[in-house]
Amino acid sequence: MLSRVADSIYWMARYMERAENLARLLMANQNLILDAGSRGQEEGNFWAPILMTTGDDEGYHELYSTLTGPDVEDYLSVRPENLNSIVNCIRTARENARMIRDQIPDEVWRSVNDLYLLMTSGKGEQIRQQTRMDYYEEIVRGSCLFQGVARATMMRDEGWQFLQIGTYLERADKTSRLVDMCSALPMKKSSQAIFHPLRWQSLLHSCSAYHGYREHDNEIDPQQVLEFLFLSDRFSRSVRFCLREVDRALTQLSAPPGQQGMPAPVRACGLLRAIFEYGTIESILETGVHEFIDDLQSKLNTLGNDIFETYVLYADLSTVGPTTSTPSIPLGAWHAAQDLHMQQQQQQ
Amino acid sequence: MDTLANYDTGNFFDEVFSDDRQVRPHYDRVIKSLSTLSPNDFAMRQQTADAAFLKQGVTFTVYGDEKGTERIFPFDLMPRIIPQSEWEHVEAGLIQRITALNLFLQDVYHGELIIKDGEVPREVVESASHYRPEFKGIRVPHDIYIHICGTDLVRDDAGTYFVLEDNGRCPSGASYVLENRQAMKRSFPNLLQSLPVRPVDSYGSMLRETLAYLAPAEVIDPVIVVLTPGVYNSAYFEHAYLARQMGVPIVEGRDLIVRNDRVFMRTTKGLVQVHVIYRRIDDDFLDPLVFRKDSLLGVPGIVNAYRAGHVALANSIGTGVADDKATYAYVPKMIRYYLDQDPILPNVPTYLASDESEKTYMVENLDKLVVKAVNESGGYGMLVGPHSTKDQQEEFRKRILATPRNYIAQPTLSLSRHPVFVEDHFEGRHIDLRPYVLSGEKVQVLPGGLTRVALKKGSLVVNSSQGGGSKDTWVLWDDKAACEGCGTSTPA
Repeated sequence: MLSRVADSIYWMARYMERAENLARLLMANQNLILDAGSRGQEEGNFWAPILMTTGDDEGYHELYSTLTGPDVEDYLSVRPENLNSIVNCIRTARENARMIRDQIPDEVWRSVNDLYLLMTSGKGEQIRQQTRMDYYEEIVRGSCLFQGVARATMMRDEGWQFLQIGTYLERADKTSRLVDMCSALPMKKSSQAIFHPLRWQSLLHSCSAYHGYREHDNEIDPQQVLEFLFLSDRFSRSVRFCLREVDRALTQLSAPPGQQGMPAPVRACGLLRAIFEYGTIESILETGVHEFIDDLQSKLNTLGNDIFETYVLYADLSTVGPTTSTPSIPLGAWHAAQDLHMQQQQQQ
Repeated sequence: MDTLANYDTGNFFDEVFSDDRQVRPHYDRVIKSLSTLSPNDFAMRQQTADAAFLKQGVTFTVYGDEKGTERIFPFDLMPRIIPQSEWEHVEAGLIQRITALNLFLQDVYHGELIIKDGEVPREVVESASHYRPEFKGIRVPHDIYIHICGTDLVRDDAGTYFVLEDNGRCPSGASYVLENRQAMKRSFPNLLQSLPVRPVDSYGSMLRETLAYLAPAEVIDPVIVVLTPGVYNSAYFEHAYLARQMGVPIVEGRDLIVRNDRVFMRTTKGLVQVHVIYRRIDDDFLDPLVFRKDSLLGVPGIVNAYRAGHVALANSIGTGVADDKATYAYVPKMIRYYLDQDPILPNVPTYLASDESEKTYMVENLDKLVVKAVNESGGYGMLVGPHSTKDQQEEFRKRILATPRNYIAQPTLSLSRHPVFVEDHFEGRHIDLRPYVLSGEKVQVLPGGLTRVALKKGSLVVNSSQGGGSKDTWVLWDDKAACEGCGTSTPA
């Protein structure tokens, strides 16, 4: 498979997953505010952690002077300035899909394109203005549809593996970021209000984990929640589960380690996975939840870079000959500036 | 109501009806069959066909349109039929012509015998904007330069076929030929089955075979790719379509990399060497090291790889000197010079503004002539004299006098017409024909080609970018069968 095509599939999957997680987070937070609002807390207290989680704190304050719910929701959903807003994520996913449109099943293209058309049409904004919850649900549903359609129509070839890697790497990253929203709360269950059961419950909702967790444990216990979101081997959004899927896809992509040794991403993923396969919640608490998550995110970033360098960028061009005078060709998003050059004539 | 009741052939050569309004024998079955359809039936089938094109993304992008709107290339359901006897003549003419053009290119880039013998003036060759002196003396695989040619043919008021121009760089449209046939299979299966029509769906394998022949001799199983400028190019649909038909990857410039004069594509499994490139990028954009430095579409070093013989390009570099509109005037001479034969398909008489007396004639008769800029294609930069205003004529007069080498003129031909379905009845519209000629181990012509229609009433311009449409073209392999049992009708 062409590296560019693999790269586009990977980013298409990542951005769809990113949009879905953002929608789920906003939905869960709305619930939380409605449940906790009567206790007279500052509204901003609920929104500041969200901006921290998505890493949009600075970007938001460049545009707004105050912290209010509607502004944060606008910023995270539709503001064009925010490159990671829901609408922009869907746009980027669609742009990637469009570039490889003839190389993915038509159904997959249409599932992405339909969601994009809904979100960018007046109809999407109308839903958003009427009922926020419906809007976020549309996005979650659109993303689930995309995943289902891909599962039902795609060949289980390299393209599929890159779709899996993109989806699960993004999901592992997002789950850990969501957990981080609660990492400063007390980890011991107690009867005092300081224990914040609603926050933990909201965390479960934002990871779509509430149902799964309740089956596994009836009461909201911070340590159990953390264990579930990090280490569950059956919950499909736990970090452990995600890393297993990434590992599986990477192993399928790579030839068995021969003389040339194991490819860097396979090694990095295996090492990271071991922490979740063999670690315990106690060891995580000992490290400190926030510190643990920090370390995890930097490792996920490294893994992402390793994958890019190994399968897309080609660090090992030297195997073919001298690498002198290699022009560095940027891959990834296409630039509008090139449109002009596209317009050279075809003999119509 | 009969959709053909008020059909007026005008003073034109009509493909379907002879001067005394008799149906020509090869259209017999088709007309009988279509006349059983009500205007409504026909309109319904037309809508279904249009919807299918849109759904399948059989579209092109219109340049200069800010929104980058994708449009379908309008399709008319009534097929154009070419009898076998007529096609044999056309096919022989096309093979003769491409053979001469390839010999001319080989000559121009090597011995220049035709120039030295005074048959083609040196200035005509050297001033052609697509002439590539950098390629002098470079041998290309099997000495073939134009592997894929789309020659535009027209018929005059006597029904004679003329060559209007040779497209020897990146001719487009072959995908529409295949898609149009698919549309006809869906819309008129019985009619198609009842006639002895030559199939076109082997084009993908013909093209692949032609390309594989160019691979370096030592390569047993060559890797072939289609090189496209990218998804935003107007003809991207076609590039992807042809790649799929051939079962080869479609790549962009950034997917390819040159090492040691060899071309590789970047894949997830590493670099894979490429042996033949069907490039749909013009010379100018092909290699920023050799041609336009600002091209982001091309592949740095690809020209050297081609020179070294490690990769083949189709079409070759510098073929534009042969399809230049001024060179065109000399093609009949080339045929005589290289093949010692008379041209089977005549040229349209052509005046070159670079010739003093012809220039004078041109500027004095702008209202009667079709003037074309030599380096433009797609129906851009042209003046259709009888349909132009005084201001437009004055504008062209100035341009011709300023840069005579850039202009040619031809008499306004009375192009043949064909019935086209308009709202609820048929009207005559001007058409042309672009057959596709492939030169590999042998020269092959795809039966028929793309029949283009000037959909605007009275218009003579058929290009897709100028509001043209197309028809399926049916070449018969047995003329009698098309009229067999004249008198019985075939259900549509």
